[in-house]
Amino acid sequence: MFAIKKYIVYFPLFCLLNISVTGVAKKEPFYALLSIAYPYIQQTEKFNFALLALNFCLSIIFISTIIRLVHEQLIISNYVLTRVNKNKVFTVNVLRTLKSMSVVFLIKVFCDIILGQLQGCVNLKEAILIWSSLYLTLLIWVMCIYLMLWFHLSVKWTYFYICLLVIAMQYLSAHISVCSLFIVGSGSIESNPAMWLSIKALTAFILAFFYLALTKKYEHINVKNDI
Amino acid sequence: MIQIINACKILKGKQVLKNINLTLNEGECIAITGFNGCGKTMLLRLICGLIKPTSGEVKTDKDYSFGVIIENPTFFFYESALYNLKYLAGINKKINNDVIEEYLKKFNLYDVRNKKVSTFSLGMKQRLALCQAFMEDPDVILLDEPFNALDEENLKIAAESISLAKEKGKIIVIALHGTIPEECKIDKVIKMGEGIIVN
Repeated sequence: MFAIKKYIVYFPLFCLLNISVTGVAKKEPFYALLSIAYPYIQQTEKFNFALLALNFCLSIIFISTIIRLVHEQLIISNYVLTRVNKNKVFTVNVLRTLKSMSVVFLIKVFCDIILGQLQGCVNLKEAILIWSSLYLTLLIWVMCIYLMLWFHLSVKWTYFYICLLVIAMQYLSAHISVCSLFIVGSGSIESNPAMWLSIKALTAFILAFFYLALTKKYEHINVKNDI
Repeated sequence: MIQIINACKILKGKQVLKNINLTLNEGECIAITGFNGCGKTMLLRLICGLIKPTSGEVKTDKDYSFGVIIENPTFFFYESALYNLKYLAGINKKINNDVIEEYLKKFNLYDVRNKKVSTFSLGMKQRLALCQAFMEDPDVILLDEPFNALDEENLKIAAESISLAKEKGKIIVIALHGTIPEECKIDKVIKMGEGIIVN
């Protein structure tokens, strides 16, 4: 059973963000996910600073949670590595990260549904597409963060690079569709959801495979302990 | 028995271990001493397989289980002491909660078992690290500076745990640069300097 107590702070946070973004964008609650860190209201293409700020808060919550989970997992690796082999370490590490990350994800889904029902605007088909895209994107972020920390980047720089990557990709995705891989949602994903979801799943798998290959080939020396 | 034969290790172009020859027998307690950066921790890493030798080899006559403290004690800082131990115990599922609680009591951490590790002092983290190293009754116990930040009472408990493990036939290697407590029944003291065994 998930230990939900420590994640209780996410409920009011997500609700607040959802309500704020709904107010700004006059859209359904999960609009907050559709364009993380993209300041334009998609139907009118009108710039809105509040939307940028609110969506950015949302991406910060997800990114900081994942970085904390991955970093914790890596600094404890010595204890895990001396108990099991390298392949199992990977499974143990990723499973715990996914489990904790899924709790945050499910809280977001729960808040979306509750707020959506209250406002009578839940389009379940669209919501499932956005949630699937969100989960697969979070998986890709997890693997990117694992790789960055593996290459001995400090937590601060990992934070900086991943935020920069997400924001840059969100902006670029409007013109270069391949950039949609690293972001939660964009117009190109909505146009062919099945293809994009498959590509995202494949990307997460390739990154995981790359990380596994690295850990098999090279020794784990240390991870910067500067959280 | 663990045999290290002519082991050398080169990291980033620097030779950190040079022609190490060492035999570790069951029921033997070895202390490795030397100044900071002389290769004590690297030798412990080599013994437990965290690093592979660049040349030479580490031979074992069976599949040993390890309990280690290497460098600073690190944990899930935002989780409780009990959660951390349960998590580590859950990897191999060798022990149940009763054993974990027994070790928490032994190292005077039972009363704070539900507190977050981030609120722990250095000495408490050290005791938690000792708990995780001993709790699964491993065949080989490798301890890097195990007495750091321990007060007199807890230092005695740690030293007694080491002696008890030795009596049970475990292989114990302790790396330290300070004095060795009398309660530890050390069989052999190895002095290291610049990646080599001096004596």
